[in-house]
Amino acid sequence: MPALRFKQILSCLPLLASLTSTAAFAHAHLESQLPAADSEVTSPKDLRLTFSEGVEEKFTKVAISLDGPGESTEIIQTQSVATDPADKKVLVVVPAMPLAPGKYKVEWHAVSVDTHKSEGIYRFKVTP
Amino acid sequence: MPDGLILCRFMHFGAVLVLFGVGLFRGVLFASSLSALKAGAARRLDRAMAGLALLALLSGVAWLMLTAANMTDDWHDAVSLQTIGSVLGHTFFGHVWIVHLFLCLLALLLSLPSAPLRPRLCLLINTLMLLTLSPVGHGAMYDGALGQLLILNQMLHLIGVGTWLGGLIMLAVLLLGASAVDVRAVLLRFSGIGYGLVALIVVTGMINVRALSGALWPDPPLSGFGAVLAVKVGMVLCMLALAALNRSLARGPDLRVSVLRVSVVFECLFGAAALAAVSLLGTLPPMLP
Repeated sequence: MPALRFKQILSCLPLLASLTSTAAFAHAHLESQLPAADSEVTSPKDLRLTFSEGVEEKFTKVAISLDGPGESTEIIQTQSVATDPADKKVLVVVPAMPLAPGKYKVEWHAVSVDTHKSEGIYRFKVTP
Repeated sequence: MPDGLILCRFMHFGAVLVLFGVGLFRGVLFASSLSALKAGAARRLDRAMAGLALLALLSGVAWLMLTAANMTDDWHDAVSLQTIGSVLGHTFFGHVWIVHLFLCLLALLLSLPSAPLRPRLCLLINTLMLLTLSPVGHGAMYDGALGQLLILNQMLHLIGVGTWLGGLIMLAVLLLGASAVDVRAVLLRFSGIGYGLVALIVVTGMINVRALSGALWPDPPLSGFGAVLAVKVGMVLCMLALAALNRSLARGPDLRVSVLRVSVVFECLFGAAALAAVSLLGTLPPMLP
């Protein structure tokens, strides 16, 4: 009964296809962030970076800098960079001091749980 | 660093797959046929396996050191106990690797000439070594049930590949050395098992590609990940063609050992090439954002 066998195989295909309904990206990339890129917000108490896969907090680095007058920039000290205990895809960055109004640049270097590296930059603005 | 990692992955996967496959072949699948193997030949095989166990442990340690350096982008961290400790203690890879390296060490100790012969225990350890490779690399990219299914799929894939490659190496050993083993019977039975193995490898491989790339074939199809995958599939197709040739040779009226030898050795080489391709794949993104 080759025809029946073939039908059975065909009926398995959607099951196989449904394995991943969302597009997959190995090498963690930044899916969203709070405050959002290029947004204007009042001083946030932390930054939340949501990646496409889990990241290793010990090896993921986030540098926040404030655009000063002219070309100068000021590095913002962070109190902690850690993944959300409930979701290893979310990295929570807590600045040591509340963010003063100004233009901020966030540079991230992520190491995903599959040991791959990725990096990126985004900016946001804090309004008084 | 990525180049070193690719080499490490190749040596490590090769050693662990062959240790498992040869162990399974000798201890389970063909234990009775191989009883005709001369004591000298068996001892030489044992020694080769001890060598592979040493290679597995060394390449496993090197893999850890290079991963540490790769994570921080600093060569000094390859020998920094603090960084390596941090990788072992605080990353998913590290947690898997603690267990994996412990198993590698155990496998080496069990295969030392002075150790008492415990083939079953050896095979168990080798199997666990192989299975602990499955959560490493792209298999870890999903969490939850999907991630666990993908790791399970990878386990089945590795078992299929290990059985095939280990079996091939054993066939080559039997064909190249003059032995009292009935090679034709072994070959016929192995190529029978081969049907199941190839089906397992192809299906689990397709599931892997689908899950990692989000499509039936990665996009772009013929550059980066897609290109290397195409090379790998090509190598596997060459292996399949040779496997079919071997089967027809084994069924022929008289066994043409000289042709078989060449064919099996080439099949082993294609297997090594496929493994080299997959070592490279593990470092490439299956899909670009």
